[in-house]
Amino acid sequence: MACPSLAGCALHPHFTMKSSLRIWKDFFCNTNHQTCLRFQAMQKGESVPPNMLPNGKILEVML
Amino acid sequence: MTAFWPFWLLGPALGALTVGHWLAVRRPLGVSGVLARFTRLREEAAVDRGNAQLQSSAAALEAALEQATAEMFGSLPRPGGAAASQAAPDDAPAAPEGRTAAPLPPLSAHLVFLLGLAGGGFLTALLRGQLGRPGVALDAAFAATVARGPLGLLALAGGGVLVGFGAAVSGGCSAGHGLTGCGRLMPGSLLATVVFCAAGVACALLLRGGG
Repeated sequence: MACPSLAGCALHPHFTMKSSLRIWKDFFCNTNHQTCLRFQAMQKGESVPPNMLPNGKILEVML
Repeated sequence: MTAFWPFWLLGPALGALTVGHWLAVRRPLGVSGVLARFTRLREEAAVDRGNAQLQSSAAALEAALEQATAEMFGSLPRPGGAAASQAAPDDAPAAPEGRTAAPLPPLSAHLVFLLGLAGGGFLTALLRGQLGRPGVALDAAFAATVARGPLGLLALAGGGVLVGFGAAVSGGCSAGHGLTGCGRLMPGSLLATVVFCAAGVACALLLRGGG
């Protein structure tokens, strides 16, 4: 089952743009969203840094 | 004493507002959550800036994502095999459209929402001729509390702190749980609403008994 928070996720659209990045979607969004730290934060009502990956890594490029 | 709307009119109006808000912006309607954003202003502002940069620096983001992908997955086999991932048919079942939320709006939008709340109250008082007449817009018990002077105001402040604490630990206030959550049949909100209604009734009975 796909993640119920896809529409509210700032990173998900980027995972669908290139085939090399779709592994994130395969691993997290489509099959295992409970382990996604973005999803977990959204469920708790916390702020989700847009540059935080599902595994918790922060992409330094943006902030 | 002010005449409030009757329950049979107010209930459907609030329901229409809640459902209409969801249909219009795909975000649950709540007040405490919006207020909470302004208590962590620095983090929320960083999120806003990051979202804006996500839109503007696509090339840099893509490069960083490629690097992070290699670090995370390396040579791990991909679900369905590498070929399947390369072909990448976008065939995963999407979440139902009616239950997915839109991205969090920027702080500026929520500031407008809060100003609208205050503005609506001001406009109502203005139209009813209640400006500058403290207590006239409140129900009798509330007005009596305010009329007690500093002690009443202290009680109100304490009540406000308790409401804020409860809303923070339960993830929403009466608007978020009672209107939006119940309207969407969310189990947690149904339970929260039952509990705070029961607690409110119990407190009222206790206070009346003691008063």
